[in-house]
Amino acid sequence: MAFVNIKNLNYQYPLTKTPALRDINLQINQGEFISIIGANGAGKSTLCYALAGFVPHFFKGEFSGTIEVAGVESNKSTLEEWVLNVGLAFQNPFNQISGAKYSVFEEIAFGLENIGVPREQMKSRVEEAMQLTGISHLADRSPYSLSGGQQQRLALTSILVMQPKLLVLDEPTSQMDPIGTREVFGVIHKLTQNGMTVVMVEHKVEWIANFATRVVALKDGSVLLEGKPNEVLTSDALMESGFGVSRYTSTAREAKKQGLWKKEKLPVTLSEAAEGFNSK
Amino acid sequence: MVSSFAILLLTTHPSELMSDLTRRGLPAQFAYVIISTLQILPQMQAKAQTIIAAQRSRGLDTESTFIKRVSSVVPLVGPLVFGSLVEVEERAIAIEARGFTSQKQKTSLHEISDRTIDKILRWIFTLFVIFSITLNIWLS
Ligand SMILES: Nc1ncnc2c1ncn2[C@@H]1O[C@H](COP(=O)(O)OP(=O)(O)OP(=O)(O)O)[C@@H](O)[C@H]1O
Ligand SMILES: [Mg+2]
Repeated sequence: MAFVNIKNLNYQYPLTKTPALRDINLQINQGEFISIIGANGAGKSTLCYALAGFVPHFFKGEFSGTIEVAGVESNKSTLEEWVLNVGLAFQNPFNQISGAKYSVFEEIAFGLENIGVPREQMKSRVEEAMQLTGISHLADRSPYSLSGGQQQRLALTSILVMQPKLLVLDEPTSQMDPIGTREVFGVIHKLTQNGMTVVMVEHKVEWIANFATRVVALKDGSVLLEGKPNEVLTSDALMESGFGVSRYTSTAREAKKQGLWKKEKLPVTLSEAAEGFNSK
Repeated sequence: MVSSFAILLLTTHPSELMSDLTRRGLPAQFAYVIISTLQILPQMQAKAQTIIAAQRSRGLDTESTFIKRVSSVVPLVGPLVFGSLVEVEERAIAIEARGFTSQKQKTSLHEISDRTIDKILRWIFTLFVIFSITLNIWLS
């Protein structure tokens, strides 16, 4: 039995005419790092909300099918219970800061206060989480004084301290500069190496190619493709769907037509492209 | 009244104030709204300044006659309000993802000391407030 099991999931927001998710079936094993891609409006965020329980517990509307995480069904659980198992972080780090706390340390402890963790445990859990994401040195700073990458790592820490079994991340690096992106990916990579199961919406295909164990491409609310990162990211179907594939992939695809790319497999990253063009 | 409120905010750590108020029975949602407004308002002001600067660089008049200035506020409202609504929804999701609506008895990172001297002072001040109000009514 898979760790995460999505069966025949359909969902439509209230007052809308078309479904945001259509008949999604997806199994995810423990420790996998799944990357979700797709054009604007494909349903990526909605799928994240569904995994994190906000669909259907927060966003009402028409919901059918089931989502199971670690053997428990989201429909049969309350949002309050569900958020303890599934952590969610998203795009804008600023909006994820509670606004009720004046230091990074307090901000991370906010969730633990909410669920009634005793004070003595709280401190050690916060310290442990900060160490994991490398922000221990920021403990006394104001959350509002941090850089984007630091704020996003704070948001991640605030979720990790809750000790979720599944981590859902909706474009956490989309507002980051290259340094922030590297910081955030560094943390996520470390988490997956520690065995965390991660589902992450991400557009930066080169990062996905290097880190994800599997890629799921959505189109108009349905799963268009699913497979190994290189297979999905270089497929003709993905290019035809209008998704912005890597420039190395499109260059090599053209080169292949003219016999300049000899390999069977197309590249996604710069190093794959360089290696492919150099080989005789 | 306003100045005493200001003194309270300047001398009391807001998180401690919040934990103490909730401990005394103020609903957590209430305390949250108060404290987060205090923090988020300056951020919103900063954003309004950014929007003003952006609109002004596109030729918006924010400095001449009253009417012109009032009408120049209009293009500000859209981005600020709609931006805020989206932000409010996202923030609601973010704090709910961190167990904000949990029914469990909340705990607090900060230990709030309420010593005997604090209690005595509180009584003295309460009496003082009652005294000054009575004096005020009596004199008028
Ligand atoms: N709160 C909402 N109420 C109504 N409809 C919504 C809501 N959020 C999203 N939708 C609609 O649901 C569909 C899927 O949106 P979703 O945000 O999941 O897409 P996405 O793949 O995350 O897009 P993006 O790349 O822009 O983030 C879109 O048609 C969108 O307009
Ligand atoms: Mg989205």
